[in-house]
Amino acid sequence: MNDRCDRIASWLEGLDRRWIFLVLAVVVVAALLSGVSSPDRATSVVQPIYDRIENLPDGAPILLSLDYSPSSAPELEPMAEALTQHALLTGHPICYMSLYPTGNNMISRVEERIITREFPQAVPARDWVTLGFQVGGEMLINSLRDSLTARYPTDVTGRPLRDVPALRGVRGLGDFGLIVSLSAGQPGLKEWILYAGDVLDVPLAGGCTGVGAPQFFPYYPLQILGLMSALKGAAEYEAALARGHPEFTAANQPATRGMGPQSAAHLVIVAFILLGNAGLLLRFLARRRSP
Amino acid sequence: MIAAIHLSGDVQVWIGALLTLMVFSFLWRDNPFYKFAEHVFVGVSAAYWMVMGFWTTLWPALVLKLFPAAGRWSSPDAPPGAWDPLALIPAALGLLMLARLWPRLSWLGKWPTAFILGTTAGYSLVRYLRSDFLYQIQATIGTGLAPMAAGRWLWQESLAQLLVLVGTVSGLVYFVNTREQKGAYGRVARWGLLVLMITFGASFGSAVMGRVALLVGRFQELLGPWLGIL
Repeated sequence: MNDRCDRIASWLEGLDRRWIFLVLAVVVVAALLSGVSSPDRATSVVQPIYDRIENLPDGAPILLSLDYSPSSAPELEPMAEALTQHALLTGHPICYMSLYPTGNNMISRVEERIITREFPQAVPARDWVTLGFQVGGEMLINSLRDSLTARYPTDVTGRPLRDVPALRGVRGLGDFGLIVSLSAGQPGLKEWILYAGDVLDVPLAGGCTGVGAPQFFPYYPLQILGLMSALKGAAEYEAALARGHPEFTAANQPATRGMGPQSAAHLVIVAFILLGNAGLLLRFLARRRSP
Repeated sequence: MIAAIHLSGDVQVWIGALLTLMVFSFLWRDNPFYKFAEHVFVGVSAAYWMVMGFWTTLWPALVLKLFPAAGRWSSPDAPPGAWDPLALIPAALGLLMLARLWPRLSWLGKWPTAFILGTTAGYSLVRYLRSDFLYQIQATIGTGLAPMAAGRWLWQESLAQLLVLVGTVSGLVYFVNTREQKGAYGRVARWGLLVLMITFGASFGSAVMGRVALLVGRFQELLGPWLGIL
């Protein structure tokens, strides 16, 4: 019995980690190919963002700051896409900007994948406007508080902001119905909280990567009205959108599709953790029983 | 039902897919394909950030302010801006920073560093004090230990509030090193340690969740745009 425990423990301890990578890859690919998805519903941290957009006054603009680069896009892009669809479905103009130098490319991807394909009737400058990236991080936010035109005299196409119907009545950040920062790091949501949300008392929400989530949860609900954390947060938002707007269920839901493989991968990781601990337990038992 | 493979004809998709596979190959062991992808990534990133830094920062925030006429090369249709003598200050500070390249003049580089540190610290102090200290204390105390709504005791909120308060206080007690942690005080500190461990566990789990999402994203790109079977 002792020998058997010892052998199994030794085998588990010596297991080549490449087997773990292989099993993980096979499970993720199988889950993607089978199209399995994990049913979700919006938690109390995500739901307020959805509710805020639903209850905005007619035509109130939403500022969406895409503060991420391609390396974080798999987690944050589904949030940008879902928010864009929600805003356009409810008739709220979207104003895109970014604190990241790669932000313009991220905005273009959302425009192409969602606005061009799903909302061909949307009119530039009326339904959405792209301010793009400007250097400065927190100083940029600071200067936009009183006047957007101080740092953005025109949008990315060169159109003066005074000629943009989407921003009619907007002078500074405080005039937006909602500000959402989808943040991969610094500058990002933290700077939006410090330099806009807490100063102007403007409704502020965020989306963040899984790595960054523990940093932002303490700000909820006093300083941010909601937080979407990683792919799970995006999937919850998609679930809320699908429930409130049945027409959205036919649309592309990348986060919901991604949650199936994600859950499967988590199960594999949990299984390997249990296996590793079982090995330790067997080793412990073998040592205890040995004379 | 798995659809037939339909390989992409897009060169960009192929480059992305092959580089992804090269990086994944490191999971097997270090190899020339991984090294190639690694060097390409570092080189392209450095070049990209340099070009972006020039055109998004140096050009509009410095060159165009000191030499407005230069704008006719980058934006021929835009009216030229006004000369801004204030831009000479960041220009001078930037040049001083470059002095660090010469050992005899490197001390000059301390001036722009001091300027950046001083202004950032002074400017951020009030913001951090309010957002990360005062508001966080308010959030910890919250609505009190017995929140009510319409004459009803909200026991779930009350329990959550109690946990936050106890976790915060015991976590702080754990870090007080001027008193020996034994007896009742020690038990509070041990509870604080437990809270910290749970927090670190949650942070680690969240980080794993994020990394798995990135893995899923890469596989979606490989199976979707590249192989066309998603």
